[in-house]
Amino acid sequence: MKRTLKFLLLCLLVLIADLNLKLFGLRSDFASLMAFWVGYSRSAYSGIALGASLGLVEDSLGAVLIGPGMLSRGAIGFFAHYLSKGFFRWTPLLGFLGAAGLTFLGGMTEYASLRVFSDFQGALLPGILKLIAQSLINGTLGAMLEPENIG
Amino acid sequence: MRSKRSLLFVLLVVAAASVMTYQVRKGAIDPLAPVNKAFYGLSGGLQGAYRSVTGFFTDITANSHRVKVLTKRLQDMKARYEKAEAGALEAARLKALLDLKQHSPQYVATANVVARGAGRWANTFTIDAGREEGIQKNMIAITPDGLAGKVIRAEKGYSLVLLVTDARFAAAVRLGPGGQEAILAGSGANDCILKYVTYDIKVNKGDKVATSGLDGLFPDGINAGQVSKVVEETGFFRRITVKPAVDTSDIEQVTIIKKDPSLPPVPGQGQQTDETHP
Repeated sequence: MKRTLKFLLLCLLVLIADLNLKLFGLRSDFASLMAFWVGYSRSAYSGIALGASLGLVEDSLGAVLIGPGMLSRGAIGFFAHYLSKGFFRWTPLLGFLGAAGLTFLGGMTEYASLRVFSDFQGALLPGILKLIAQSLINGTLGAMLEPENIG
Repeated sequence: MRSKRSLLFVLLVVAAASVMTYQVRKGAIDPLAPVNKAFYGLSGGLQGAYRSVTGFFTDITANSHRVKVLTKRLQDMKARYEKAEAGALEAARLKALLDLKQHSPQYVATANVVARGAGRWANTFTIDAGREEGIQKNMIAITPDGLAGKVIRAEKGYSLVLLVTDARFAAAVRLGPGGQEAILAGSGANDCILKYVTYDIKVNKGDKVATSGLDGLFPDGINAGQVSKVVEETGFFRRITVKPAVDTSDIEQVTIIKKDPSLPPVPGQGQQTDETHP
């Protein structure tokens, strides 16, 4: 119970941070990082569930279109789980590449969703540059998120 | 198991695509409106708190900067004030010297202190006026505060002055309101001592000491200092310490005067002065 409350509080903080915080002039994307972490350290179900939930709330708060965030965060949570299986072993480099790569993938998914399902006309190149920067930030944080220490 | 996970992902994709398609066709939906409201409220509250905290620190930073600026300004003002105060003191000193020069027939010269005596035990200094200015041996060096010493050597361009605190210095003085006579001598340190004061003479701390003129060397009435310590000792005389009227460590300029020429010379003057010379 206590752990659940802590987890919910963490989710709340992540959402508040994403809504308010700017790192180097860029809006943070901790929801992707959290989806990655949960997907990696727990299970694909947890990753999808948490990622989709956070994405849903963020989409709703964004008030543009519900769905892209839900899909991208859910995808991040889902694919993160596959990094914890097979021949992958946790290293900070894996954390960096996983968090950065999946953040980038999630961003591209979101971009594609918006382009397909809405009248979103944002240019790709500036968006990609921002996405790369966000990915690097999340990758750096991901390198520090060793599941054994956090979970 | 794996297919289940894949199915879940496919479900996610389908659900998201369906929701988005629905919104494209029917317009935007907002199923989490109540949650959003609460969330915005919470976020707004946190933002307000954050702004208050950052505003507080911003104020502190601004105030800190202001304090630095004001402190610097205060230091500047203090420096200016001290400079002005030093200037005022200098002006008062120069005025006193000018008055002395204009009104006293005893006036000889005014000179700057250019060097301190190098000897370990000597309390002397050198002034930048000598025989050309009319300075001669045994003339008196004073400042507006009082007696500073006497000239022990006059050369061309400079003179050497023996300070009142030098152990070789001696002058006839009067003590306190009763005008008891005594000899003021330098202690060799930073003060002077009164010699030959017997126990029947009442001496108090703070009593003024001034030259008596009876030695035929120093004019009468020059402020020499005040009693700073009286020690009751066994023996014939009291041991009395006198704080000189002049801060001997801080003399920059002196006026050289001579004994009033209208007064007759006191017998034995030469003998006494010779004794006090190094």
